[in-house]
Amino acid sequence: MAVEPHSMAWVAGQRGPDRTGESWCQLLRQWPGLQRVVSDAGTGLARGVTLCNEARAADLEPGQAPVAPVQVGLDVFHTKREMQRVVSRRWAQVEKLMDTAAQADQRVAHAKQRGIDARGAAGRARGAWGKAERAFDEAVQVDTAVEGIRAALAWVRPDGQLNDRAWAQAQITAALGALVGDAWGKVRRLLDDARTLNHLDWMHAQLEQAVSDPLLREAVVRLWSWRAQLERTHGTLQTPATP
Amino acid sequence: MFSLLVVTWIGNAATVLSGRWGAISQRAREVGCSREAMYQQAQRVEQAVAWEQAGGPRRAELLAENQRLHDDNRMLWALLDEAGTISQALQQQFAATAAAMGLSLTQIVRLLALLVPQRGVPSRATVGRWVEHASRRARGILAVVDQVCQTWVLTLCLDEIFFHQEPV
Repeated sequence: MAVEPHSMAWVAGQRGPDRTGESWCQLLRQWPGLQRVVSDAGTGLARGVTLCNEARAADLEPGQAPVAPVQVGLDVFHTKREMQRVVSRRWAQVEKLMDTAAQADQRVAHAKQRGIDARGAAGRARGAWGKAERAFDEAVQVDTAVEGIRAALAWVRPDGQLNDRAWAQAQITAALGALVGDAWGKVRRLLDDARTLNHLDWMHAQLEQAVSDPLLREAVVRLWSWRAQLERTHGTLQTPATP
Repeated sequence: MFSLLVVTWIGNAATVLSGRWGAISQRAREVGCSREAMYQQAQRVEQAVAWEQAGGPRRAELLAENQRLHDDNRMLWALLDEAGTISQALQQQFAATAAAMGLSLTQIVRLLALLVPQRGVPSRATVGRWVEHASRRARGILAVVDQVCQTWVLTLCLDEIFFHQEPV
């Protein structure tokens, strides 16, 4: 399926026959002016774009100006969803550990009430709380890192400036240090993929095309940013979306 | 009979509230009810007295107010029934637009039920026919619009969704 993101028009919804690069290529050939594609990291789709670019180059008549190849950017929705999935699972583990610690506390209280030696149970409760607190601290650190990555994927930085690849990459590199373990494998792969930040390059390229004077461009962007903030405050505009 | 019951309840409440040891069991045996029932009656008697002392509206006043609201409600529904209803053409337009926005037939019928008097709400099957008719009419236009728009598409978001295990 294909959606044009500015109009949100669903321009293709084709059942089958398969998800191979050849099928995607056949579909993509319907749009001769296509410049950019936003998708997940699926291999079929990527191959489809490659085949489409090859077919476009082969179709060129002698003397005809070459058509710019279709560029691919990764849809950050999938990255964010995967991050959220891992974060939720981690918090569920923390909750479980806290429950275990609370149960250990109850066992200590129960032993004391019955006049039984509670030292062993108290030791186990301390251990359980230690484990739960460590897991909690780690989850908080992960949350902070994930927030950093979310900011890196957005159009606008928290300070109101337009985001760019250099800033976003620095944020991601800093945050990835906190995302250790196999659970983060998919997120790390997506974030390591250069295509993840292509939307920021495209935004700057389009802005440069629209307003060539850098000073004017910066002023217009700042004005837009303030207006958006003002409208958000009054609840008339949604938070700037990420692609 | 009613006043006797009231007197019994007050007596039971007095016994519970007196807190005298053994009095509740004895009273329960005398009046032939359970201790649990006596505690419940005491609680209700206490609530009734507290309500009376709080100086709120009386039961008779509340009943009268309730009746008046019922009458108002009935009159407003009657007025709504008499008021001009949404024309069928508008309902069909509503259904087609809602379906194009992704709402299901059941959802569309539920929304129409908010706008149309109860007896005029179309069935799910009728709405289905309206949507089908609108989609048939739009099909021809879409083919033309699609072709015209193809050259204007510069960016696309692509993804695969599965419908009955078949990729779309």
